[in-house]
Amino acid sequence: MRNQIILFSVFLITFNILKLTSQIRKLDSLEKLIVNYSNNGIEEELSLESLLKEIKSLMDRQYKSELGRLLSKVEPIVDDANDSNSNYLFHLINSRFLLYEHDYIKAESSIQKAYKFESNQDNEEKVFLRITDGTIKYYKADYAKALEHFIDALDYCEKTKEKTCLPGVYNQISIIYLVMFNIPKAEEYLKKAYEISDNQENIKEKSRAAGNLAIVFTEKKEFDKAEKWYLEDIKLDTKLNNPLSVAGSYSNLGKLYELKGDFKKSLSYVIKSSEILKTTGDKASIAHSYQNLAWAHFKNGNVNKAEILFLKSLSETKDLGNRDKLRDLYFNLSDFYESQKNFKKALDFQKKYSVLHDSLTGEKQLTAISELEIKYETQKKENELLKLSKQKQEDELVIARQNRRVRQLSFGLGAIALFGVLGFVLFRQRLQNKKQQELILAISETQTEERKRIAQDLHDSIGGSLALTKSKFEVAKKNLKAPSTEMDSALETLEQTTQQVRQISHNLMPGELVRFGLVAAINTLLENLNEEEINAQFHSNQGEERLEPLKEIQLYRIVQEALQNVLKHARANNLFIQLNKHQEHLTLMIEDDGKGIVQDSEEGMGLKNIKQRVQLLKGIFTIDSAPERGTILNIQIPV
Amino acid sequence: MISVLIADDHQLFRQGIAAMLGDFDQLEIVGQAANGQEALDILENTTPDVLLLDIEMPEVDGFTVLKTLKKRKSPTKVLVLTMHHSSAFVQNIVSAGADGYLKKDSDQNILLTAIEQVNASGSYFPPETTQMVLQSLREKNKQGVVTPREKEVILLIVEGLTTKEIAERLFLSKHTVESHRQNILLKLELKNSAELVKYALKKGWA
Repeated sequence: MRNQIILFSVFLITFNILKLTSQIRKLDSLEKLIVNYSNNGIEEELSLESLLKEIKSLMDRQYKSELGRLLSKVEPIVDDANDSNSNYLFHLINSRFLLYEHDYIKAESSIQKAYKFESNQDNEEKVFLRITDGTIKYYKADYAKALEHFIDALDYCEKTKEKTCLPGVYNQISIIYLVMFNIPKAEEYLKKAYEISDNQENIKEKSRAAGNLAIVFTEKKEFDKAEKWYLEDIKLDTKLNNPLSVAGSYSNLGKLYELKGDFKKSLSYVIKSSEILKTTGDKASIAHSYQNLAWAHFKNGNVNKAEILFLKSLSETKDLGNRDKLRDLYFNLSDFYESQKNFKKALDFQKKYSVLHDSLTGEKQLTAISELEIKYETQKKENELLKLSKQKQEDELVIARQNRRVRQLSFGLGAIALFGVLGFVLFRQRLQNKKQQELILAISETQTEERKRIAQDLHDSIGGSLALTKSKFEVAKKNLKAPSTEMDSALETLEQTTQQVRQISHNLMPGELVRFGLVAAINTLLENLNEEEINAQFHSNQGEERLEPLKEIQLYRIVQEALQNVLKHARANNLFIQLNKHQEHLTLMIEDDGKGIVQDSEEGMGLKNIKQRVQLLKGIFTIDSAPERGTILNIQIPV
Repeated sequence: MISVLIADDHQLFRQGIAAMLGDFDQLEIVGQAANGQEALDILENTTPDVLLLDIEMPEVDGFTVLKTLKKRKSPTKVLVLTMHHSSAFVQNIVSAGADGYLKKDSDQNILLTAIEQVNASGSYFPPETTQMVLQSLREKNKQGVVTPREKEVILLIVEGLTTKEIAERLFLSKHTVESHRQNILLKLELKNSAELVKYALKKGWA
């Protein structure tokens, strides 16, 4: 079982060329077996089940294309066989394969099928299945669900005799906490993973834990400890004969020293990383390492060497034809030449970057993240337009500052691109998340201030004037000698307008929220509901205690959004909202007794917004819904 | 004759109200303040019978005025005249020391009634406002009551099911069941599941 557990970790890539060729050969022979199977039926010596077990033991991202071929051939046989063990194995392997292919939707439907056939499987298999499921959710950035599956896996793992799966599961759980920025929890689980893998002499999981602990301590700005863990990781990876991973750790150490401001030491680590990479013959990584070297030399004031290395990286990256990497490189080169005041070249590379950038983004699906990127781009463009009108000196300063940030970011991504190991995939995702979160935060803060101002002006100034006008009209009406329908209708319009202004202002930013906090604001929101429409109850132990403004506003918007959803779609009679402060977290639970969420419906948009808001608050969000059994939105945020 | 001071940061509104109240012989407008500080300054030297007070004003707002007057033990009655209309608001201005409350778009005659009543009996709140506040207090009394779903969870806890089993039985995620459990304990002021079982048995739920 140990072998399989090692293979669980989608993130881990063992790099061993000898092993690779022998595995592929084995896969090829399996393929022949399958062809025989289709021709001759079950008379083969090897049963279908043991054949699938063979495939499973060979499962690894490196043999993606071979796996794909095998699976397409074996699928019709499994379909015919009507044997639950084979079906289980097939769908499990298939979902793993689809995960390698980044086709998460299909992976998810495949794993659902595997669940249907899992009843005969032992606890170790159940752990495996849940880890795969959790990993799919992780890639879909549905961290709450991922965590749930991993914790489920933990339950089953505890039931196994040897418990060899424990460090793997702990490592997976820690990743979720890492991406959710819950550093203390991540640390807690990583330490467990490290300790147990040490006892069980599971070097792979031990090295994973060590590498991630290094990231934890980098995050905590405890650089000495981070370094210690990187060195430990390097030691373990050397034992595992995993040079790519060793090089990754060295490069990250370089980054660490750059953060500490010791550029000399940073350079020495980057050089070490690049030397190791050269021995692997992995061209993409080598090309990339020139870029990291260039940057490190640049930091040490050696501009000429930096330029040579950048260009070397450029020519090799071009040869490789990886457009993603090429685009990043163009970006960095443009930046580099700009810093050298060589604006012509800077512009050239900027243009090349744009061409590639546009064609690449056009190919990608428009996911939530890229929508944000568009926002970011527009914001950047707006900033640029603004800057044009400002003085040139100020101009340069702002650009320089902005570029530095972007460069840091893209360098970070650069260093990461080298590695197949978990930490770096994770790091990349976290940078994206961080960027995304910073953006949302920035947008949300300006929005909040602006909304507050507009809401107050509307409410007081315009609302007040309208109110007064109405009172004056009332006086005028009384002084009329005969009743006037025109006066009546004018008054009615005025009343409606006053109401509308109140409503708009309230939607923008309720005065109750600003003045009295979340509980009062939710109470007011429910007060304005039509009682015949829905019976709403709100419970909170929060009282008048205030939360941070960001939390109050986001949680209020979540309630508003959820309420809209319930009123529009749920056909519910009762609504229960609870906001409770527990020891370490705040729970917001919104429960209705309506018809449940219909998949792929309009409600999705509102839920997506809620999910983003919860992410902004670093919280966990789960939706429970069953037909005619209502819907529960469960949100937990740290306090 | 009731003497009235008007405090509102919108000049147009101040003047409009002054003009409207000018129609009544029993009222006398003794001054106008453009913000909270001005109102407090005026009230240091004079004691009008009634202050018509807006809440949203720059720098020193209506709440600060209310609290300062309460501290000063000012005899002036305060009728809050605002665009805000929610029980949260009304409850808060009352605890800050307001004697009465009226929406800004109220009828001229109601405004007169309000000023007279605040002056004579020391308080005025429109019937619909009282209704609203009472309703919200009633709602607060319902707090601590468990929802139907929570009751389902309680019953299954009493039966001895684990979180996971409850989750499966109710088609919920474990995470949600756990949140339910925590909310229930909090609302019923119980320490743990054992106490919850005792509570449920005592209530005759199981």
